[in-house]
Amino acid sequence: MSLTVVLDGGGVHAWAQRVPPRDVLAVMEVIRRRGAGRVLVPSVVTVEALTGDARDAAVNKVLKQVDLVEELPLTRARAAATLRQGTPGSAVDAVVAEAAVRSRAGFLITSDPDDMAALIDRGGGATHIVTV
Amino acid sequence: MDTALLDELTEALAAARQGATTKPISVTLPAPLADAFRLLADRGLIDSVSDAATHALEEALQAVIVGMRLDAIYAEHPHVRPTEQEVAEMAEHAGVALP
Repeated sequence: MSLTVVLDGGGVHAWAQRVPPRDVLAVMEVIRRRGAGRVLVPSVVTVEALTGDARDAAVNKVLKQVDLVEELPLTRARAAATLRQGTPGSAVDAVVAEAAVRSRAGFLITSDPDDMAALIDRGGGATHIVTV
Repeated sequence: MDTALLDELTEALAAARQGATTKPISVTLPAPLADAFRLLADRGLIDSVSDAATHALEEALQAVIVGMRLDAIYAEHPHVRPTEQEVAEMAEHAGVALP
């Protein structure tokens, strides 16, 4: 079974740190040990993760090393909108959660665990949420 | 860390994911595996053996890149390396097996 790890803005920042949080390291070790995996970041995440100045260097480096999904077809946007109804999650959160549900991600690394859990629950996903 | 190698691998992975040009290569596989994937392609369960192989190789390369970054972190901060138990527990959370 393929293993996908989805990162939101907080997750990207965590993995970009000189010393990422221990749980993030453990998740990435799982990919390494399995010898295969996918680290997925919907590009809309960069709206929250980047600042547009020199502070972005570490994040930009990480973005080059992940599967940056730049397309958001209408069908996926609709699915994200459906997930978002009745939850406090933002539009960006909903796109991230939809990506996690659709890809049957094993992990979602996020700084917003409550909203993400609500969104993923609505989508019937079983993604394990790692809080940073 | 071999930064030049990491950069080269990262660029290769990014280019592959963005639809780089393809080229035929010859690989040797266990015959039953080759036959199984040919059968899957013939029945339309996968797009093609080439697509399946590309997907598998991309995921393998991603794991190598992640591993190189982990090694670079541990080289500077050996105390942050997760324990075997922590990694095993994390894998269990996602319902995946470790080799």
